[in-house]
Amino acid sequence: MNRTFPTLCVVLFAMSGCVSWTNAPRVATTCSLEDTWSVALSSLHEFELRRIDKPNGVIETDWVHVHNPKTVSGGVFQRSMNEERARFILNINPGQSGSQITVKQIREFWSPQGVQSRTWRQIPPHEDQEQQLATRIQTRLKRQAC
Amino acid sequence: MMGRFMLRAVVIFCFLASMAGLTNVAQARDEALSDSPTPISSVSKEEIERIVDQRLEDIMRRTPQSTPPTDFSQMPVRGLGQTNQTQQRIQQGSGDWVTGGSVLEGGRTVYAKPFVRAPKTIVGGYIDFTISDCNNANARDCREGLEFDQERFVPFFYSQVTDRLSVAAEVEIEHGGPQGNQGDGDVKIEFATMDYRFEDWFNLRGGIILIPLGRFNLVHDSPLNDLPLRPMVSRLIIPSTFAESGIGFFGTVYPTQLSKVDYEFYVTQGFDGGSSAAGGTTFGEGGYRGNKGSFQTDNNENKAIVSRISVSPILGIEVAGSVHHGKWDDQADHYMTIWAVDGLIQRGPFELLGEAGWTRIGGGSKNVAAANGTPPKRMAGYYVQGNYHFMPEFLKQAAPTYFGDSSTFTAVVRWGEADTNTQRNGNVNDLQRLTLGLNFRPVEDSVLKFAWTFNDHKDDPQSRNGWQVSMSTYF
Repeated sequence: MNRTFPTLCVVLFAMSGCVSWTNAPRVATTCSLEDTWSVALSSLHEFELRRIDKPNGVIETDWVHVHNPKTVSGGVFQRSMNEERARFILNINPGQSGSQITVKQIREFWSPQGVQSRTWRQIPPHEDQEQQLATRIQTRLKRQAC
Repeated sequence: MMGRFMLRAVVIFCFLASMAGLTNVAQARDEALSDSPTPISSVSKEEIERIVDQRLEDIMRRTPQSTPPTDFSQMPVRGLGQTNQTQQRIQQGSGDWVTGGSVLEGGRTVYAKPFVRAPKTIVGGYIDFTISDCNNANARDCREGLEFDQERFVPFFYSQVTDRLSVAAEVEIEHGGPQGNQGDGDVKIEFATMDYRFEDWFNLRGGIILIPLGRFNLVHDSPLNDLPLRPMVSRLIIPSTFAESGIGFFGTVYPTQLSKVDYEFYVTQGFDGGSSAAGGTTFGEGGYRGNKGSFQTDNNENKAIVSRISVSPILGIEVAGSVHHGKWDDQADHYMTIWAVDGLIQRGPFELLGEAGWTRIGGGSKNVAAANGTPPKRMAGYYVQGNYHFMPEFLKQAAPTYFGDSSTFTAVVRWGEADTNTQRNGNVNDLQRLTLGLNFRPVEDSVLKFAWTFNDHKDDPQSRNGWQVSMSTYF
């Protein structure tokens, strides 16, 4: 046991390097950083914002509760009480010929079932919702004609 | 006669009033189409209904700018599990913005949504049933011959008392309960807590707390696990299901954009190991499962502290460390500390998870003399488990009613060891186990498991293998 466990730890640590994020949608534009920032900010009108960090080009929304249509309802009361919440993080950076925005969703799951009621746990983002927001920003940027 | 007249008058008044109101709605909608409003007398009931429906649709569709519509404004808002940070903006029909989201304190619009009428207390549970044949292997949880075991029937409750206060509890009925045919079951609270939520990063929890020691204890519900048997380390070193009476704090912080840190810190009753005095009686090499502290009284006035910090640098990786520390004996002379580390890596259909625990017991010795108050000094154990999720497409096509979109198979391999006296060979629990398993989940909440268990008792030539078939589901 004294040798086995450290060996397993090393293997686990090595394997963690294989893990990476899926590609978050990116919007490249010829608009100036200032214009891009303004459009990004106005595109988040549904959300409360928890961080607006212009020097670092970061906008983070607060949590919103979201519905997952794939969630199966069931149980004694045909429950559909599982919860998911999400927030978006926009990174606005200078690009090669203008600027670019990266849209990332952080998503968490909560269920009232047994031990799962103790905390929210992170789950993969909905890529279509990330893309939806990216498309909205892109459309608005195009309308700026910059 | 008079009553009938009054009733007719009220109906006519209500009808005219509603017509006038609805005509205003119709007026607003038709402003762009016609300069003159539609006369009341020319509007039929069907037309009014159509206008109202149309108007509501217009309100729901309206966005401030004609950009690709998102459905974020339609996202439901519930009180369950949320904090006051989980507010969202909801667009009013007038085009104004209001802040809503908190069911009991938030914006006006959420009250109109049907989900608010959902019950605030949720009752459910889980059940499992296992067939096992361990060929008298005499190993932890794999001891006997062929047997049927309805091991756990666990009703649970979750109640959102107020926006900030919630209650969660599991009541475990094991092996049919204490009044079962042979009286060999029991009924007990697995956890029962009140949570008062301040912010995501700071919340209060009190009650019978599920002890955050290692990972498995926190996800011990049978339907969540992929093998019929629990890991040996989570039975012998971390006595899962492990709950203690106590109070403390928990929360989540997000140090960077992608990372997440969860913490829990509690003060609890601690273990009751009996007397460590000469001639006293305490626990032996079998472990301390039977020495979990009372939910009511403390054998010494020294409280234990327990804490777990879990770090997830990015989605799919989680590493955690936890500790339980307190005095175990009646005399409050000796400390007992349990350390645990655990981790999880998920990548596509692959999962790798594991947990290790070490116990150091003050006043212990490698030469155990439980009858004289001397327990073992050191214990340790660990397990590592790999999961692979898959669902053959041909099965979904051949039998779609059995294999749906949320159905999945999981192949599992687990290796584990546990030793309840690491300083001495020949003790009763010096075990190694390899488990190969396959399970099928028709839906995420239900699972049918099969496992083959290879037991190796280091100091027992009688080590034997066994198998288990188990079914469990939330309900």
